[in-house]
Amino acid sequence: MFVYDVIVIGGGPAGLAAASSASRCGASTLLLEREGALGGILKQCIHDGFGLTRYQEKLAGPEYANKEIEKLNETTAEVSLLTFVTKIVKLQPGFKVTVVNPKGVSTYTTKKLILATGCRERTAKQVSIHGTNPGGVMTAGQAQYYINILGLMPIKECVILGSGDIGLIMARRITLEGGHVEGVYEAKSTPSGLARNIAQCLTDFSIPLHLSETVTKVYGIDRLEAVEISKVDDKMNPIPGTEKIVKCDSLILSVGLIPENELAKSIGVPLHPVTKGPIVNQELMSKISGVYTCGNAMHVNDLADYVSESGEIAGVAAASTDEIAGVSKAVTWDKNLAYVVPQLVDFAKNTKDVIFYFRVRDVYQNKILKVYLGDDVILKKPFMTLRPPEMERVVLSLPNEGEIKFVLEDIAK
Amino acid sequence: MTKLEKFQERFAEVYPSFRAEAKDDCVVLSGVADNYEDLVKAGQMAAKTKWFYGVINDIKLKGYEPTPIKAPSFSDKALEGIHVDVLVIGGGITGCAILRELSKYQLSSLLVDKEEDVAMAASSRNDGCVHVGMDLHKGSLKLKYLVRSRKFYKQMCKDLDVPYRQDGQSIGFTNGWLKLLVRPALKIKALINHVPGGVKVLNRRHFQTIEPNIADDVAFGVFLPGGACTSPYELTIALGESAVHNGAKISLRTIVESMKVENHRVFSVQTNRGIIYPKVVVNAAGAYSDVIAEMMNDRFFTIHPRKGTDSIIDKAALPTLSRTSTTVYPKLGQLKKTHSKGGAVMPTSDLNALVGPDALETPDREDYTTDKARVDAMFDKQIHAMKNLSERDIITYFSGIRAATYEEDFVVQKGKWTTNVIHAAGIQSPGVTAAPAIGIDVAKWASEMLNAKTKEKWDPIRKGIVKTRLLSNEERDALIKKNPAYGHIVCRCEEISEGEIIDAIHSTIPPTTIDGIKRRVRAGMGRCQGGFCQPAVLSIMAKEEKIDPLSIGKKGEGKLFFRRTKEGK
Amino acid sequence: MKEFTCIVCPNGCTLVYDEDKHVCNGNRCPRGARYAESECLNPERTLCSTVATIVSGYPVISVKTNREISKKLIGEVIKVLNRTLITEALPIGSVVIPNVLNTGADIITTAPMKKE
Repeated sequence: MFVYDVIVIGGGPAGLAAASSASRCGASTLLLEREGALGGILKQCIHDGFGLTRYQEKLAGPEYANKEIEKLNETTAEVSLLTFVTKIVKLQPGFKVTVVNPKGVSTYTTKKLILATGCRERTAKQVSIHGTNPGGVMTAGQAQYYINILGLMPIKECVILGSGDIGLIMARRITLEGGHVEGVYEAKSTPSGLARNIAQCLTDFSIPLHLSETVTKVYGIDRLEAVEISKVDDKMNPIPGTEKIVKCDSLILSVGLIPENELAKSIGVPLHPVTKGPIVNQELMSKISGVYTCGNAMHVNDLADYVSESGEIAGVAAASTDEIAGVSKAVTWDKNLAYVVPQLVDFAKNTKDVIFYFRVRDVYQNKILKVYLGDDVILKKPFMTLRPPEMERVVLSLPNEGEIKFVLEDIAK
Repeated sequence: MTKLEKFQERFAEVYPSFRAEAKDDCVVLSGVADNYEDLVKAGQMAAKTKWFYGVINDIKLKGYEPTPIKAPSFSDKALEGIHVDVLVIGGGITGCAILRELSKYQLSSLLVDKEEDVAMAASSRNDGCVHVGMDLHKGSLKLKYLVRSRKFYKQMCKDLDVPYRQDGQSIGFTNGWLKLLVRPALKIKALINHVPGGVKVLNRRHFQTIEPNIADDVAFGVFLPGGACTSPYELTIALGESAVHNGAKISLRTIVESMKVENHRVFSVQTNRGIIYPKVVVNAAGAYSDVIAEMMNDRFFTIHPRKGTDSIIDKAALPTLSRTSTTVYPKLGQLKKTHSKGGAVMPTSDLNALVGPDALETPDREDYTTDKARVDAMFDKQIHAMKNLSERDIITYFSGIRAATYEEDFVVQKGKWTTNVIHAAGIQSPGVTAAPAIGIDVAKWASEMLNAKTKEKWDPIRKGIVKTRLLSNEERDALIKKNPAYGHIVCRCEEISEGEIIDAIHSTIPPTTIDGIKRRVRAGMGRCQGGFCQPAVLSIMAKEEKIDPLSIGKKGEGKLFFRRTKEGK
Repeated sequence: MKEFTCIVCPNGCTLVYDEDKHVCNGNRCPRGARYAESECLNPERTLCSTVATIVSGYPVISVKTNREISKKLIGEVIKVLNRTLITEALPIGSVVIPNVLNTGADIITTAPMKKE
């Protein structure tokens, strides 16, 4: 006897789409969200560029979230805010979820779980920044919250470490709010963010981008006073003797997102070492039967539109009452790709128009992506440029069972 | 030839550019050193003779300008003209333990600290180990106070509602044949040192039942079941709160600037908040305790600061690491004599893993910087203890300064020349363990100086802030039904509720910064290091204290914000 | 010849625009060609920012221009926003400043505000 068919943990764009689609498929659905409002990180992403594919509109983060919330409100899915999951127990079948919220401690049982727990930000200490421990060192998300939600300005003169999208977005945001960005520093030799963000966030404001340089030390006791920046080699190790000191009162860190999967780990969901998210099949079900995932918890996404798409896939799949099949075949990829999601295909499930996401390991020009199903090539797609920060998406139909392999080759002359 | 002349001769041979003079039965070293290592070694040489009552090392380091003491930027007259029976200088674990003991007597007491909170220096920058004293010297004050403290430590932690975990301490050895020598030697030492819980010497198979993740080349292990740990800053705060609950006073952001000493007595103490007139002054000033002793005209020792760095490992990785505080004895041939132990891998009282500390002599008494090369070196070393250890699991690191004297022992005694002072100085490891017993002696001496009797009523109990994450579902549910704020989880990594943060804000020694709240309830100590919760903690603090969030800082006098983004006009 | 990145969609095509011949290369869609032309003649951007409010729970609320405006006017529009104060809870999409600085664009809220 289960109280719910589907419980979705996380009310950001992934969870909203998952709960919405599960409910529309007829599943009794409960969405658990730890904040006081739905929308997840989109609430503080006030810049636009969301919804270009999903809604053919250029929306600000909160507008996109609002549309997703309205879609959810049209369903009978229940929502519990300020609700924190403290424990999940596998009942086999099904799960028991214990939550804490201002009403007390409650437990719910559910047939299926969808983990839409998003990401957290990598910290300064996790990228070996040493020296003192002053105020003024903050992640891009923290700075974004202070500026966009609380209307408080924590920055006068800053250095941004990391050229990922969030760092670039904040470079523009800080500048528009009257702060000064001395520069954006990136340890890799190529920028991490989308090309258009380099253009509209850095080039537009004449903010310099320094590649192959990183912050190694901070100075200042109670508040940051300066940072030490070093050039790095191709292994991203600081090169001794190349240090320079830059005076600033703020260091903004945009050094990567880490999928939040402590709950997944607690119930033994195997994670992929590269994505740091659960290993999934094309229905976004993990290797633990009945546990699905989507969004940034599954792998770090660039576009909210794809996050919502993955939520819908997971929601529909979780709502299905079909028997959960067992055997899946592994998807493999050559060393040019960092990863492909999903990593498994269950041939007893839907094999038409399966969505695959992938990232490459390095910057490549003029490559052709070949996808093999057994010995047959089922996709040949040329790409002029492929970059690690830009996640790609291909849709494939799999007419028969076989090993799937993603390969990148040079375009034949 | 007198002892001093003998020493001067030997000293001049080794250090021709330094001078050694007598001051009563102490030795005063002077001169200018080219490097800091010589300066320290000179002091250590003088201390090693054991002839001198104390070493006053006034050798200067060439080209080194001492960093000025970090002092509050304001002054007022809040304490001007106050008369108090006992003034305690220093709000670390030693000062707070003393204050709590003083509060048992019929006397007035005031503790001052220059920082904005207690436990800001070494007391919040250590591994929280409650030691067994195996490696201490018989006759040392370190051992004396450790043994006394251990007799009541567990009960004290219970009374003060702070964590106490007795997991034990382990040392692995790679040279198997050493077992024959080690077993009898340690058994005897354990008896002499009154090591609580004794010592077991175990073969590898048995050792692995205690430490399953021990490195593969460890041949045998020494296990000290009495090894324990606590949260040193929680304990310091609890000691301070208990003291205040029993009538003691604490004044923070109060720095001692100078003293007037007349007729071998401290007459008055000048602070940035006015001049205080104490009958007795206690020196618990940690890394600055020799500076305070100098102000008291009672300096017979010198602090040579020794920095140590610790790394904190993600809680999730602890099951792959140690169950006890574990280290591996260096291979013979790699043995280096250092006064501080070579660090270990241990579970903290909050179930992180902690790696470290190392030891670095530094002239800077408040150098809390960390250094990548030194953290790398510690991990390279400790991987010989715990095979799954990886820097990838680091969530943060921090440094502390040990207040080491050249004799490498505590200075716990009444003043040598000045009659109304008591020193609880030079406290380094095992300070967290020994402080409670030191407090008893110091308070006793102070009460004798004042002819003060014990109070009839004294409350040993201090209730800490509830840890909702440790309650059963039923207990937690009942608590939330009474106060819904306990059901709103603010710090997700550590599972800390809004109710607990509010409790911290309204606690007996109220925090004035984000870090002060962090020290009391752990919000911000998790893997995201405050990334998610810091703004929420800030908002709660602004609401509870009815202050502008613009004015709230993270630590010290640093501001988090410069202005609002929009003035709206 | 001008080379720059198109910002219209996530593809971020590298555009090469010949100002004299009004020819654009590198774009994967017609929007890119239009962007190339406007970027050379009179670059336009949308502006997303915040406006202060006195509504409880909303120290600031997010807003945007509902269409592109001349890049040259961004600084002035920011100054106008900094002086603007919202005094009541507004639904998402509400016009806060119509036709700001005569750009033809309205400043609209991009997040809902709950009444107390």
